[in-house]
Amino acid sequence: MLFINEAAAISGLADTIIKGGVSLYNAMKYIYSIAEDDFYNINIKDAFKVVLNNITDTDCLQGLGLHIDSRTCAEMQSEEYNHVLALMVYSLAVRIPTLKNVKINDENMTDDQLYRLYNAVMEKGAENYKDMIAETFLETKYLVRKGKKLQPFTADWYKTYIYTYVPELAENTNKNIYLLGFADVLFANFNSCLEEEIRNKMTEYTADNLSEVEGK
Amino acid sequence: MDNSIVRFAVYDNTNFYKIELSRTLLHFTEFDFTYFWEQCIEAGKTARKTGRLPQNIVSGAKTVVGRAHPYIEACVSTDYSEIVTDCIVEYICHSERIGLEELWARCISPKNPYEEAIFRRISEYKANRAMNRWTSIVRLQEYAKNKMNFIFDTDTIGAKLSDDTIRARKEYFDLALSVAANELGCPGTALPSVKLCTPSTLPNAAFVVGKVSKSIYRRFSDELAEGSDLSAMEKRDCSKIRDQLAMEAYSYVKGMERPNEIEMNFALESFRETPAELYYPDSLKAAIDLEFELMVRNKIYMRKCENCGRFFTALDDNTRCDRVNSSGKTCRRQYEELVESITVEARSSLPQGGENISGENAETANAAPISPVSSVVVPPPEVREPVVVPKETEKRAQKLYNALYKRVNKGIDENEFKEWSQYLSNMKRNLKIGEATLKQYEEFLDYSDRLAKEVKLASKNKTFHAPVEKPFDMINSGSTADAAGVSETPVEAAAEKEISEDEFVEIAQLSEKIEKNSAKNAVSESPKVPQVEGTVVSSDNVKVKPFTPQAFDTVFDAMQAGTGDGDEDELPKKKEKPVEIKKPKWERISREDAFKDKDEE
Repeated sequence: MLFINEAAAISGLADTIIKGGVSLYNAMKYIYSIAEDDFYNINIKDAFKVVLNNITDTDCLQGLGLHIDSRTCAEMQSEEYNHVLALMVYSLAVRIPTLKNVKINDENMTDDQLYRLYNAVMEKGAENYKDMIAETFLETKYLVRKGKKLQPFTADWYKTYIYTYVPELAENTNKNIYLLGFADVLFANFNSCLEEEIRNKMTEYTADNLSEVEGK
Repeated sequence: MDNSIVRFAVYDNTNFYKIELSRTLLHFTEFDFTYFWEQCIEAGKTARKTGRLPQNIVSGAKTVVGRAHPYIEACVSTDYSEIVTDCIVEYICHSERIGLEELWARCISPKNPYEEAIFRRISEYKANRAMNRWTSIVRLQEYAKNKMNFIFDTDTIGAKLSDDTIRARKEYFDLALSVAANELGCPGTALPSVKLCTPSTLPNAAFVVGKVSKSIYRRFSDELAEGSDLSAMEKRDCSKIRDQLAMEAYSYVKGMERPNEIEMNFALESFRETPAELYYPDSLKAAIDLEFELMVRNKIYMRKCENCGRFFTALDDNTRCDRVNSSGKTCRRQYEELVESITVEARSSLPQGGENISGENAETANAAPISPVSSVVVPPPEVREPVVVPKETEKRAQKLYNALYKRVNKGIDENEFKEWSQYLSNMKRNLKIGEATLKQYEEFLDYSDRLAKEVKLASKNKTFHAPVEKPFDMINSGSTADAAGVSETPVEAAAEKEISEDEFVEIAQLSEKIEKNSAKNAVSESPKVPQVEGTVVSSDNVKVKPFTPQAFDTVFDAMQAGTGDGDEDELPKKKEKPVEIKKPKWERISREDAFKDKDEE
């Protein structure tokens, strides 16, 4: 795919993926804070709408009046839970080969471009901590090339990690069950929305001229 | 101690505010929110262009709304801090005919701080963290008016109500609300309430009486530093364990001895500055209800003015208020003058035509001053045909309004503009009820044209405009109350009584004389508001009607609401048959004559 400025495009797309990961990570924290104080006040549907409409806005749920602090998210303050961020970004990074299917002006990203994008994301802090995520970049690339269906983007690895390494969140409390239930639904929808956002970014970076972008 | 003033405190504010019983209520019910509304729309329009709310307009609008009620003033930086956004949200929903949900979805990915502010505010509504304060104020104004009417209004003007009746009416009104809330499943504890406190028992007493609190803290700081943390209770329902919490706190100071004399004197001085009794209302409705309650308790009642129909504080037996009306006089003074002039005229005129008046009437006229207004029954006002205003003329008026509105404080004084716009709205209303003619309206618009030109010129020169000559009608208008058909003349009074034709003619002549006399008086005393002949400035139209947003129970209702044509906020007028006062005919006819026509049929 021909970008106006390839280096900038790769960096920009990597940023989008990183922001997506951070947004997902923060969304889980904000949702956890709902269970603390606003269980009956905030409609969970609204929370979904806000997150999925602002996929790269990492603090979009603040608009709903939610706040993350040591009181509302006390169970998420552990060192182990902090690795979830790197894992979330990694889970999105391994799906980069699926961008091969995105065509803009009858062009798609080359394998080299996709690999560079993956590296850029990994350089920015993505990590498969304790090999929690079974998928790999190469495996996804292979499946895409063969035209086979990929595993759906689910919260399975997240739940496994929590049950294994974050005992505070593994307890059967109202808050924890609420969190895991939300994670199932959010993960399922999140990746498709992020792909849509990346597609828009790609269109932006491949535009013939800037006025076309501005017009958009 | 003055019983007519009470003080109150509010959450998150260390100042005390006062309620002047009956005055505060009257002020609130008659407060005109139009200027605030216009400021908010202005702020919204600017924010659409710039992406953020102009802070100068926002703070100006908040100051204006704070004047409506001391409770709003007290909470203007806390509960009412977002009132301008609330007003804008209401305006957008109303003008674009959309529900809150749709507006929220529109702003879900905010592009600028303005959209973000709207999104946040609607999110707060959705999460029950806030309500639309603007619509709440408008509703509460209506609530206060209705309650006032319910308690103090009487079927017959001037009738006095007993203390028990007034209390019963107030209690009945409050109970009706409680019953409705109860039936709807709303717990009584969730409804607004007022606490009676002293400065030291206020929820924020430690900050209200700060100096003394500091000295107390110094005495117990060591014990308190090691005390258990009760801050987690803030978020929980503690209604069942209040005593336990209080005793937990008390356990740290129970060993307290009386402080030394210097410290005690210091405390004494501090407490002397604060009121002994303080109310702590938790909402505007609670503050309004508190005022009603204290009015009833202190026997401070209201009465409807016989002249203008507005409520006033009944300090004596007078049935007319001390408000200055369009004639430049108070209703009370106007009435007194009318009585005086009728008495004088009756004394000078009646003896000459006394032969035609029956013996009893003549005796009354000579012996004692006539008190016609209180004894004479006021005939109902005549209903006239409305005047149809051509669209061009309406457009012209709108253009003039816009032209002058743009230049408020830039060529035309704000008060002068208000006066002018009030006059315009009065004129429009009078046209609707047939009290003014199209010619008068056009004359007024011609005058307004000249005024607009002068204002435009003045705004260019950055001065205020030169005086513009007002049309003859505007200066020489008679008493506006006359035009409304409110005033009573002996002609109208006589129509209600059975009198001979000669007597009728004579009284009519007397009435003409009185009218002429009062017109002379009106010319000599230059009125504040220019009046066109036939313009009625009654209680209703003196006040510029504020915008009343439509209230919907559901979003569906809001969507279903039909398109208005600008008159939707006016109450539907009852079509009554015009009552004509005819000159009585006293010809006697026989029974045969009377039924002749029917028999022929």
